[in-house]
Amino acid sequence: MSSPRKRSLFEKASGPVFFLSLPLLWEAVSRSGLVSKLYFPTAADIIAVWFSLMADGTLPLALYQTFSRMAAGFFTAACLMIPLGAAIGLSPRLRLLFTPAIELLRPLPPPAIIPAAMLFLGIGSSMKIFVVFFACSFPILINAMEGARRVPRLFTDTGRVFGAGKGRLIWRVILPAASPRIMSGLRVALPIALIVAVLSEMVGSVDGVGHFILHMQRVFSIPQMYAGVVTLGLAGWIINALFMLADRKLLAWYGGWKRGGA
Amino acid sequence: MLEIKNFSKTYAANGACPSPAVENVSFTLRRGDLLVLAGPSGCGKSTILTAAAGLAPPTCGQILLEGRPVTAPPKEMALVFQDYANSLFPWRTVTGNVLFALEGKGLSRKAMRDAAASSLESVGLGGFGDHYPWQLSGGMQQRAAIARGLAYGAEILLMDEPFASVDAQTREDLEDLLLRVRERYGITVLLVTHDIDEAVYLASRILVLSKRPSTVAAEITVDLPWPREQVGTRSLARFIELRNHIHQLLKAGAPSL
Repeated sequence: MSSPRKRSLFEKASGPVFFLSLPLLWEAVSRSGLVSKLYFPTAADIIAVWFSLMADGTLPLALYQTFSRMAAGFFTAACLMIPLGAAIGLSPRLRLLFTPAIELLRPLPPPAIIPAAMLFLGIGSSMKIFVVFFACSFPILINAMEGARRVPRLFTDTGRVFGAGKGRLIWRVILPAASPRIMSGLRVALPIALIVAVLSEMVGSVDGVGHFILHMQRVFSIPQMYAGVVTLGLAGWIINALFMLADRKLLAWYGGWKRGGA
Repeated sequence: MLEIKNFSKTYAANGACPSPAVENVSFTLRRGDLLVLAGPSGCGKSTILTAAAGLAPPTCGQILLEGRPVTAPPKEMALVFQDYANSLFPWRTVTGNVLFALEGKGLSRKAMRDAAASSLESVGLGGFGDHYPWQLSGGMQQRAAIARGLAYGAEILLMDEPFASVDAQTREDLEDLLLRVRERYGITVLLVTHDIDEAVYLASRILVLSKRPSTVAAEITVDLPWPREQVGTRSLARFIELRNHIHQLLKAGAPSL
């Protein structure tokens, strides 16, 4: 593989410079008087409020609540839907059984089930976990299904020739071979999990970052509201970065293989 | 040790009339044989091999290993596929791929590592265990596939056009490697090829198959001296004679234009 082209200073610096100039742009717009200062506080104000809310534990607590719901829903979906998807992908009979139900439920926007979920589960954590679980299930399930279904015949034949029984075939051949597809299901589900967790907190909750943002808007604590938004932005970015790191480590082989290696 | 009896395979395409690919082929693979199935492309050679490996049952006929019918891949046989890039697992290193063949055997970790290392050594991949297959050349990947078969402890190595996807020089190296490891491990080989020169060079016996639906056109015992040697063997008068004879047989069986 040839080493990547050397990047010029402009290419290297342009991203971070643009990112850092956003608060300055914000500050300029706020000070220009084009929009009401009440709705558009200065960046300096927002950042100051953000630091104090982080320091007094308000935002960390809210973030912890949001994140733990998101993680619980996401991991439950992963633990149940990857095996179920693989099983459906491998069995034409299960495919016939499940496909109509999946196709019917899949286009349903997850927020639509929040009111019903509130009836059964109240406005506590279990409702949010359930809604996140529901929203994450479909991308994970469908990708695991396709991944298992499209495992090249030669891989499974090879496994059988070298004495793999059903268990070894599934764990050592089919799941690794399907892992690129499974990972893309998880990659799609991850931001959905955050979106749905926040949204369900806005609709029915007494805590979490979603509730915090909406509440601050209602009591006209506008810098606080923006501080909540910034927190979510940063959290989303960090979660995604961590996932990409795991993805790159787990699927290092896949890129090399697809490129044809040496 | 491996008997193919009245083997027939019919493929039923959707809607179309079922067309026979192989019709009533019988032969016996004896211990120590290097039997080559030679025939034109698409004549069903690979079909016979896949069935012998226990991967797809014949439509009619029987496959017997030491007298027992083969219904699933038996542990006495290993298969080397033509498409090495998709039969070596790309998520495992070369050593990992060889270890796969050892994982069902209940060996200790150390015994497995040692066995994998020694079989890689014997195909000349000693220093390449930590590479991924896709980091290696085609010839080296096929060596890794052979090492996996050796590590599995197979008595019979089934090979489906194993050297068809590599360049000429590499192909000669791999042919000689096969002859060497066969000698050293005392394995029996059933190899499929459409290359007549390769068939004559490698084989102790050649089964010439006719065009589709294929039947056995001839069985030829290759009486060339051992050990075979690329330049020497290929320039023997007997080599050329056998080669031309098979060529005639295949031409006679080929569709006339």
